[in-house]
Amino acid sequence: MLRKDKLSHKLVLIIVIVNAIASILVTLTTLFLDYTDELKRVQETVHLIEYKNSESLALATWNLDKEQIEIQLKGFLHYRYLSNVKYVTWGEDSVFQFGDKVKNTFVREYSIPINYYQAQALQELGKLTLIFDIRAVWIDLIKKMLLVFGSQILKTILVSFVLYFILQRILIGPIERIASRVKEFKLGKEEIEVPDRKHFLYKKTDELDSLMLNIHEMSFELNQKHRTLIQMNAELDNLAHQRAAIILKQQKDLENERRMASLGRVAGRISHEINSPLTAAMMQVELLKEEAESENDTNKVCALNKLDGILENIKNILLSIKAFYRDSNKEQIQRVNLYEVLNEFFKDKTDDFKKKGIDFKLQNYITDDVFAKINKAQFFHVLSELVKNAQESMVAYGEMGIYVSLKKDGFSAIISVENTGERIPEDMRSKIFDPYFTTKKINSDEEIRGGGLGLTICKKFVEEMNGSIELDPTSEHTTFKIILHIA
Amino acid sequence: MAKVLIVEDEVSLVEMYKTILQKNGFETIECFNGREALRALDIHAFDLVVSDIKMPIMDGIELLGEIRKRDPKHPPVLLVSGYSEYSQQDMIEKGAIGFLQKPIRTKALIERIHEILAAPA
Repeated sequence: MLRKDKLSHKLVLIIVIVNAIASILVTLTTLFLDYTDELKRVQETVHLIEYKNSESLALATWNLDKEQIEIQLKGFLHYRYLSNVKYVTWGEDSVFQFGDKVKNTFVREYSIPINYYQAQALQELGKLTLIFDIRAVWIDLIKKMLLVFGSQILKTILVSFVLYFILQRILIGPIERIASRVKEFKLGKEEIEVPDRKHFLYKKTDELDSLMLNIHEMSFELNQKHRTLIQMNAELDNLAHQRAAIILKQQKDLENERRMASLGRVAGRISHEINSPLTAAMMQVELLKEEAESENDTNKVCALNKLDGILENIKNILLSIKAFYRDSNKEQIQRVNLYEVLNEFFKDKTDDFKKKGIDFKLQNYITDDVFAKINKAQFFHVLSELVKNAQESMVAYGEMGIYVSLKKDGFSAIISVENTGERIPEDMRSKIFDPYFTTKKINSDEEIRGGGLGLTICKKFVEEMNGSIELDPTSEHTTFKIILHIA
Repeated sequence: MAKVLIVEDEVSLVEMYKTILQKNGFETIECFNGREALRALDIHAFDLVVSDIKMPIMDGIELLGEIRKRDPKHPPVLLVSGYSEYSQQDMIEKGAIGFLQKPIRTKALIERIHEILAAPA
């Protein structure tokens, strides 16, 4: 019936065992004490007979009054546990014996001499033997003890059941409920709730309530910590990814820098090697132009001007390549009126656009003057590159248009250069500013028209002016946006 | 007539310098490296040396050092280079009168030479 796995059962079992042992000990002790008490009582009976009745028995013996002797001896049998009385007169003249015969092992014999005093002299008249039945003592004691032990056990069982009931109701039950709730608790879900307790004995808040409350608070805190931990973990993950990305970028940058440095050295050497013959060529052209001018040969002058333009272009290309691989000259940065600079740049281009059938518009959406710190030569280079690219991409299309606009957005000025040419495919949009990337077709039948550095140089130049250049993803055509800080 | 020593390893450019300078009224002697230039300086007196920097055997900067060892001021040396690594300031500190970055326009070169020669020694 008792299950060992329940605390209340264990407690009750312990109480019963301890109580039983205690009862046995108490019973045995009482048994021992009662036994010695009974033995004392027997002794007292012997003394009582010796002092109270021996004299009258001596007198009856002296008078040879047998009847009197018999009455007295029978009278002794009323004493408790005295089962047999034997009286032998001196010289064994007469022997009196009354009572039940009991086995020698369960008896205790006491002999009392019966003396008679006459004329100051003691005369022995006989010997009285009192035989007590100890078995009767034992039987009485055992009956008594059984009663005591039985009542003790009964009391123990009653107390145990009451204890069990109380324990189960006010202690074990709530603990079991708490345990089951704690067991059901899972991190990140709802907290452990405080159960309603119906108190058995009192209605005050006790240790169990505070335990439950503490567990509730603990679960609440645990959930909070769990959530924080998850959040921190996510942040840590994010940070790790960011760091990994930064390291990857740094590695790429480093690799790029190394490549740029070595390319820079090559560019420097090439530039040096070309610059000398280029100077010679330029001087030669100038010399020839002077001669042609003096001869008024306009055709020659025109041709030489074209040639001079080509050489100037080569010079600019060399300068661009060098600039791309080296830091720009910061001294050349100047504060300019953006609309004026745009006008200045496109002034010479409008005739050329007309000739080529390109619709051109330059629109200023800003009413006041907007200034920015730029390197004018580099800025013009960027615009030239964008216009050149626009013209090249529009060649195959009927609709030809270049639309330039100046807008303001907070502290930024936005210069948009839109063309109606072929839209740059989605997969190429992210790569157009990469070095040596080109959308221009290179095959044996077609002239190679781009080295793939044009837009990279533009990006570098604009960034050196603390600005940015991007491809407008919302435009239905191809629109580049140059964003500069207003200064 | 001012006498100019041209030191340049690029043959086509030496020819052009010669033509242009002579056309502008200068007397010229041409060398293709620093060592040749030093020999020429031993023989002739020059009003100006126009030298390229990167040359075989002896480069422009070594030549400049040798010239300045002989005379801290005369003749003035105008250095010319296709390399943009050198700056005007660096070259002046080394003892040059000026520095020109190739490619150079005729007008710029002549103006610079006149400017140098017109300046008080």
